[in-house]
Amino acid sequence: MKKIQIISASNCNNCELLYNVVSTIVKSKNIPAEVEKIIDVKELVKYKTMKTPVLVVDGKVKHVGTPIPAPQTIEELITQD
Amino acid sequence: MFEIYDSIATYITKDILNLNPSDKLYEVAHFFIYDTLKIFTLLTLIIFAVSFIRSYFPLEKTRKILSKHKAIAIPLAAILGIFTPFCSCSAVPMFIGFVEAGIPLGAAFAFLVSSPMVNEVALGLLFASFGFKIALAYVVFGVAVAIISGFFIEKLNPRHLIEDYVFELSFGEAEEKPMTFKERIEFAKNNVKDILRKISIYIIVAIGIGSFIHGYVPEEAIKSIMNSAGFLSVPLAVIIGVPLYSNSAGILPVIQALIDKGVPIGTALAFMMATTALSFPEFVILKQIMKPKLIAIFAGIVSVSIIIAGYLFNIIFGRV
Repeated sequence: MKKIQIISASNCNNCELLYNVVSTIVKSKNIPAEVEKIIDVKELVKYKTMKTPVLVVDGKVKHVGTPIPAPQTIEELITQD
Repeated sequence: MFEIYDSIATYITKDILNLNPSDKLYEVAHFFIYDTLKIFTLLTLIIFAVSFIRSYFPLEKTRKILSKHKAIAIPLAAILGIFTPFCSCSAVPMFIGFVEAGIPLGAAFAFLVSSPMVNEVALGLLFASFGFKIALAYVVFGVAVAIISGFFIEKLNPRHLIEDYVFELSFGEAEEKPMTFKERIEFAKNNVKDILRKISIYIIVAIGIGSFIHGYVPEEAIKSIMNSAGFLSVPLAVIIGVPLYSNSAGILPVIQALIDKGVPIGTALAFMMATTALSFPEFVILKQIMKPKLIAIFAGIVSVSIIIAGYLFNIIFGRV
């Protein structure tokens, strides 16, 4: 079971968008993963980036900041190891 | 440069829609098609170009530059704001990161004003509607507003109005791997898609309303309104613009139509600055790190600076 996290400091459109795209991909492709949105700057600090949102898969940073990548790219990011 | 669009617009209105060129409706439809083509072409080009340049200045790099030049941090932050991509939801981490690096608070605020204000959409729309000179003037005035706002906030030294945890968290030094040329192109392309997806509908509706004003609203009507409210049009534009989210900058084509009918151009500029620099959603985000009093002070200083910039602009460009 993968753990996918979308981390940001404030709830904004871009974080919401990334969360929705990831959730849709996970559901439609039957990827065994748990998707979680964390809005907490104290959590963000751990990943040493000021840019938001951050896409983390199993503790590894896969994408940082805007613009949000295309859904196809996001799928690659969350499925590759 | 845009003759081809003129021909396309003429072809569609005359040959496909069968409208009579002496009709008002012909004029409105022609204007709408021509303006839509022109604005979207220029917007695409400018968003792409600005995004490409911005790929060279990630927030981390800007922070590093500012932390090395603390004495001139306020004007430098205002200028770097033009080149650094920034979304208001990153305001909190940006603030914490800047404070951590010892960058003066005034510089963090100057950045917070100029980065969203001098953005690719505003530049694209201003360039499409009013040309290079006005777009450039917008950049210069935008930076000036950011410097003045940063300077005043630095003088106030609002440390006590900022939440304590801002001074306790630490991002450390992030290892930033440089992008390849291909990645930069990809970044710029994605940004074009992302922004157009968000604002196209606003712009098309605005061009529609603008075309209607262009064709049907008599110049005398606007002139008589401006004669009675003329001097107040700048603060009015700012008051309307502040609460609006930056996507609303897409309504610039409406303002352009009003300007063609006699509204002074500084009013348009002040409106653009107010919508992009300040917004309610941003205030909500800032509330996480600062007391409402500081947000009010910040909004006040920025608004007054924008109003002054609007007046100066009207004086310089001739119409008050």
